[in-house]
Amino acid sequence: MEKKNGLSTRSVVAVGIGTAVFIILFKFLAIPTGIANTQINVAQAWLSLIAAIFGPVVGGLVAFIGHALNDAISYGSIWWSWVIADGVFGVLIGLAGKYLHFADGNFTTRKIIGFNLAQLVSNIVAWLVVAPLGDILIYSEPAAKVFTQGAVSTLVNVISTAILGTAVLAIYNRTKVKKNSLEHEA
Amino acid sequence: MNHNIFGFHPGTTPIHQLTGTTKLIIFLSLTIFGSLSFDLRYLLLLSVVAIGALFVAKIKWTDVRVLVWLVIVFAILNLILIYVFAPQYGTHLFGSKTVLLGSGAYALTFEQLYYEIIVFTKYLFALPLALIFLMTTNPSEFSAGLNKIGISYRVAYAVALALRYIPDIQVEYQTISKVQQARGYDMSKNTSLWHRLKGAVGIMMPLMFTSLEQIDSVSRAMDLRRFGKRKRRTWYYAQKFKTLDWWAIALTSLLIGIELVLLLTNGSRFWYPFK
Amino acid sequence: MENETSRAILKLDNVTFKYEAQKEPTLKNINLEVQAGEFIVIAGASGSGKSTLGRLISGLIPEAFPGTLTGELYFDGQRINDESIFKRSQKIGTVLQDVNAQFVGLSVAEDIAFALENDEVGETDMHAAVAAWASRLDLGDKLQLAPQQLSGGQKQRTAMAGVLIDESPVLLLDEPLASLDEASGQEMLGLLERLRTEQGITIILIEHRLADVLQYKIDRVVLLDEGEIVQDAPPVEILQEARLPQYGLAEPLYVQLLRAANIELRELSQLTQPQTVLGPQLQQQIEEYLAQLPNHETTQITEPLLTVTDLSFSYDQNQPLFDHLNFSLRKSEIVTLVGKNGSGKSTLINILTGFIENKNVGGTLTLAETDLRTLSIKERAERMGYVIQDPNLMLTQPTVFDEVASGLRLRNVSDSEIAERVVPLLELAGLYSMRNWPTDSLSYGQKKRLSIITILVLNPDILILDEPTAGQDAENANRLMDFVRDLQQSYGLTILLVTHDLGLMSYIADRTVVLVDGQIMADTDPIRLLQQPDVLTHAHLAPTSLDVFLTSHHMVANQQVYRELHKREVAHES
Repeated sequence: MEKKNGLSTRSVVAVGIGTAVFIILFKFLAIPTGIANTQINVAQAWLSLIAAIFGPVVGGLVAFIGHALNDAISYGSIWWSWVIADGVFGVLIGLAGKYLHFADGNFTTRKIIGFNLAQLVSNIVAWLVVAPLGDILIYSEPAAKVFTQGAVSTLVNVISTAILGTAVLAIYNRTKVKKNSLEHEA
Repeated sequence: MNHNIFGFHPGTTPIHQLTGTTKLIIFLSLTIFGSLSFDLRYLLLLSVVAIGALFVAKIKWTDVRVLVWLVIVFAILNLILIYVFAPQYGTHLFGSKTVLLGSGAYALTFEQLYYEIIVFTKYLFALPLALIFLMTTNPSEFSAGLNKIGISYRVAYAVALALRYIPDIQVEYQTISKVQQARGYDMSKNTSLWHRLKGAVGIMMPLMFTSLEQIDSVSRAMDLRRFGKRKRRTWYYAQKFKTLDWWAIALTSLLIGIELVLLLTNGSRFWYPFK
Repeated sequence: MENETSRAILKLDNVTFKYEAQKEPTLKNINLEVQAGEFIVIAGASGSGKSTLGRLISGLIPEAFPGTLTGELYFDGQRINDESIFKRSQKIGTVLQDVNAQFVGLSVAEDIAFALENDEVGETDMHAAVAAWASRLDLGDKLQLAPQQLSGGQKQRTAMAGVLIDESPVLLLDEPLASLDEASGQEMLGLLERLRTEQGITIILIEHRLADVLQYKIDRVVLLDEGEIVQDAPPVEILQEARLPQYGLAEPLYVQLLRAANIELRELSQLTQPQTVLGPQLQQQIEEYLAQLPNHETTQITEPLLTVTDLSFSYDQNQPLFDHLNFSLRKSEIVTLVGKNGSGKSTLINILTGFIENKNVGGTLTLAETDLRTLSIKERAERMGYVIQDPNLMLTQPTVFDEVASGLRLRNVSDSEIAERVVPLLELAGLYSMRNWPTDSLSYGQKKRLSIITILVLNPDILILDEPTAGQDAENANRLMDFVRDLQQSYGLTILLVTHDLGLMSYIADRTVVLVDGQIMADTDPIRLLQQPDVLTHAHLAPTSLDVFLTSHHMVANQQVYRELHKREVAHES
């Protein structure tokens, strides 16, 4: 066999198709919460799943490329600090998944708690640290504004990942049940 | 059917003739350097260049109208947010306070107005640059360009795959969503948040399974055509640099040079002559 | 073979393969030799192991599908058991079944060039090779188009060009007909014949739709059943020995007719050619058979249920798709809607179901005196259920029972009533014992039945089915259509079927509507449609082999023949 360098082909495809789904969900399936300009992003739940299955590199790339392309298509300009923050979130969830195995077909209560702790930490790091710091360093925006925005996004993302991310992972794990364990019932 | 999410319009203008790589370099370097600068003179210069290029590329107002209005609304909202959360940020940045209107914490100062105008000019050059890039670059050239500026071909091809499958997944998404509505899911604003969340999971389920399946079949198809065999790959749409490309790169370097000179003479990212 | 000395280009010597996750081997003691320049077909019903054999030949086994492999594989005399996918792909070009997954480029040109890009071929050579293969496969003027702008046949040809560009001597195609309508399928098979003659390429075709394949110049059919080769013979022998029905595959309709008329197939010449098959007293025997069939039952005309009057609609203002279209469905009839892709079949259905919003739609839509336009998507679904082609896009619930119950739960029906309505449907669909299974664990055919009853549970008057038999083998397709028939009879349903399959149309439909470029070209009974070859050509429809046979032998079909042959086929299966 030839030696394979870098990302495997399957990871490349996971990044490509993962990103496509991420963008479609971002564009079409954002649920308004009732609070102005704050939406529950179903795309982040998809990102958690992809990162949990394929690991930190794929997770980070899907978030980074997906967020950047979506910014370019929807807003005409890329807001780099948030793009980077999303990438960081993807990497962190992927790392957590690598050690805690969220997608191995056995999503126990312990793992549900583990996943939610991981997403809590990752969301805080991404949206309350990386994104506002980036806004200040790159865009020289006022701290009061960017940290408030960061806090709101952290809250929304934590809640939406807790509900949708957990649900999606649970469904994925349930279908990984081995088919021969199913029995016909009368 | 929308198979072209970038909104690429083929054309024959000088900007269309530049290679994808050139346009990518210009787009990335000017947006990055532009976002670092807070020198109003420089930002206005960039805006003039970018808006001028919009005319050179013969981009039609009707094609970009919606996006432009969206960005203007978004920009104004951002300006208001800045004012709401940090009404005296300009004062803090420039070290002086010239009240124009009102009093107290929300007094409108000249410094704040100046800062917010700078923030607005950033949209003024970034949007035309992005529009030109998106509408004159053949998406097929985009990945070749990414690879040429040093990004691994695997990542560059992942971007190409995303562009390839977005339209397919959009059709799938819309089908799933309509079928779900027929089943009885109401995704409109008049249902409860809980209902909409359940509806969202319902739409995600089939999308998740078909996409994961698709990842496996596409990677098998790519294995069978030797993707990833070598350290490098060539691109059908790789284009050779022509004189025009070198001129465009030279112009961009000049713009970046001006910024560097300004940064040095100003001693900071800001330029404030009114002290 | 035309070559004086034929040589085995591919040889499998006593090969057995077991997937890692399975207890039993999927392929058992396979011995197969393919000569250079041959055109062979590997056939078998679902689960026969033919896809596994394809993976083994393409090299995906063992690299992408780990397992235990015993026996020897040779290519041109060289042992290739441990060869990588990359190396194998230069000997054997493979086109996978899912053409959308196979097409990875953003445009036709890029997809054809993909393998060369990966081999670092330079720009000039690459452009020349792409141009050459594009013109060989009639894609010369399509190079800049995106996959979404192509028809199924064009996508398939792009996929073929993308592997043929390697100049590998063998081409392997995994169920290429699955995503094509009959007419495009025939074009593709003709193209394969041409490639074999002009380029000397060895072709291995994996397929279950054998009825469509046998009239082409095929050297051998290799029949698989339960992982073993049960027959390896020329098409004529396969037909003479009635091997296909024995292994769950459909025979061509005209062969079914010959058999039904008790004709000794061994006495016929050119058995694989419906136009020219010849034998002593052939015509006389067929005529006798046709004469003794019971008379055509006249369907009674019922009152109209759905009426579409003066429908106008356009995606693009300059090009109206529908301009004053009239269409109706009567109570309890089965109507097929046929026509080439892009003619407006899906658009018409999307307008009826409300998937396309009212604002661009002109004309009146009436369902039993209700103006459809005043109803929401959800309300329309309670009267008119629509089952889309891919069941995978319809299944959204964790278990089979929940899936069927979902539509009722969302309408706040009580749990006891839900059970009363769901259980009989599950039983009818043969899914009751699997009611607590995850939907994802069902087979394709089971998913298809499940998707139908999830729609039916809302008690609609009309059921719309899009390509219900696409991608299924004969046995599954027949089972599904009989299920639909039962439903129609027990619930008095009106059924609208979108299909390309005129064989299906001929036995099931009371009436058929041909839609071409937004206009109704014919609205008639199925048999009359078959007698209008110009309409068929316009609509890009392939006549059935039965019709080809009867016409060229100066006879005329009636619907009773189709129904009788269908009945015989089903009886044989059970």
